[in-house]
Amino acid sequence: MNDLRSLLDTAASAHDAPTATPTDDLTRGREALRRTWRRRGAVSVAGLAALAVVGVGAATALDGRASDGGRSTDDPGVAAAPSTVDDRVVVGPFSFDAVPEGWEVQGGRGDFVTMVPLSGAPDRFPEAFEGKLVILYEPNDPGPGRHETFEGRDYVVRGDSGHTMVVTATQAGEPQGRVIVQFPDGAFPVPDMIALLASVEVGPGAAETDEAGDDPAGIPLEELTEGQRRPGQAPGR
Amino acid sequence: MRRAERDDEFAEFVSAHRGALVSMGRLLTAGDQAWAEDLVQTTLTKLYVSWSRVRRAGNPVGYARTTLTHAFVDETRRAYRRREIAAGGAGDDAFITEGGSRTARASDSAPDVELRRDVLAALAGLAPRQRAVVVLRHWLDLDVAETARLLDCTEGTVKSQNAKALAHLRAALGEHKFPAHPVPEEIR
Repeated sequence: MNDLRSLLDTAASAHDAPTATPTDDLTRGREALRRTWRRRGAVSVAGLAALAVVGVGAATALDGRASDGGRSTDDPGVAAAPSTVDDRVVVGPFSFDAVPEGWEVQGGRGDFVTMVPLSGAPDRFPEAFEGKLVILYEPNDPGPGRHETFEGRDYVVRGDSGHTMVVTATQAGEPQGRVIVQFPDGAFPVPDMIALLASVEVGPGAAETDEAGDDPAGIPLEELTEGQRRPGQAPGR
Repeated sequence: MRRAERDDEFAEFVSAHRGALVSMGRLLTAGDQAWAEDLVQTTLTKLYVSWSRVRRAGNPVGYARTTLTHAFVDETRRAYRRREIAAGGAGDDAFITEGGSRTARASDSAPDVELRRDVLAALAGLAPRQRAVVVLRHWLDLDVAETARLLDCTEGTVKSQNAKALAHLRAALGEHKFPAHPVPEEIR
């Protein structure tokens, strides 16, 4: 005589089933996580590109400029190497106080800047965000989180898939939307990242990403000079 | 959370719980070892991606079981899935050796092998959601409310599906193997 539980136990057993190692599951998990972050970057870029197309179209309709959309070749929507202006780091349309100590700029495009540890970048793709410090312009609200206030400005701290985001609304004169600092959980104290985000200024180019798609990867690490990678280091952890 | 930390914790979880998840998958799929393995791989991949959130929630086993159940239900909704009615019947995969011949394992006693085959065949006769109800209620010992939440249906649906499933199992296995001991929702 059997009860259902013991019948199910018997059915669930399979002593000759192959035993998988955690390594295979780890490899699959890492690949999936990498795809997730790459997709997030791509979605963000695609959204901004769509926004830029709409914006350019509207501008053309309003002022009757030439059919090329009114964009010039030196438009700041494409990637720009980091430089320092008034002791601030400038990468494309973003400027901020300093790159955290022990980190360097990997690259970026109109809507994001990617920084990686000096000890080794997780990969060579600036548009992949996993394991990196990213400053990102986002037209839409990325969602709810814990609220913090710093120097009278509101910030939202939220976590997802091993990364922490600090989000704040852009300021007057900047493209309307959110500016975000995203970093691996535990890599930096949140107050430090709020302070970094507070220093970020977003230029109009952030909302005008490269719709031509000539440079999908932005500036790769290898193409930056030593001085360009680490312009102005901030104390960090 | 650092990657090495995530990897270590995840590997530890996999070492400890993978076998149980495959067993659960085996029951859900009525003994289809390959499908069970697919479901577990899908589950563990999702678990790794969400590991920070999962560990904060403090119940990775519960998350994994939920994900596994959802993966199973999602797959059974797809029209192209035909594994369960493949030639030979569900539940036979575990009895095929590497050489391809059907044989009992030397380590198993014959009655267990027979009983296992009968139970898997009986499970294969259930609709996928009925099978999920049986596994969740009677193998994992989840209560009706939790089972309903996990399957995204009402508690009444869980009770009725459970009653139908048990009636089928009794008919398929016979009174000798599965005697009629009413379970709580059957006597309400």
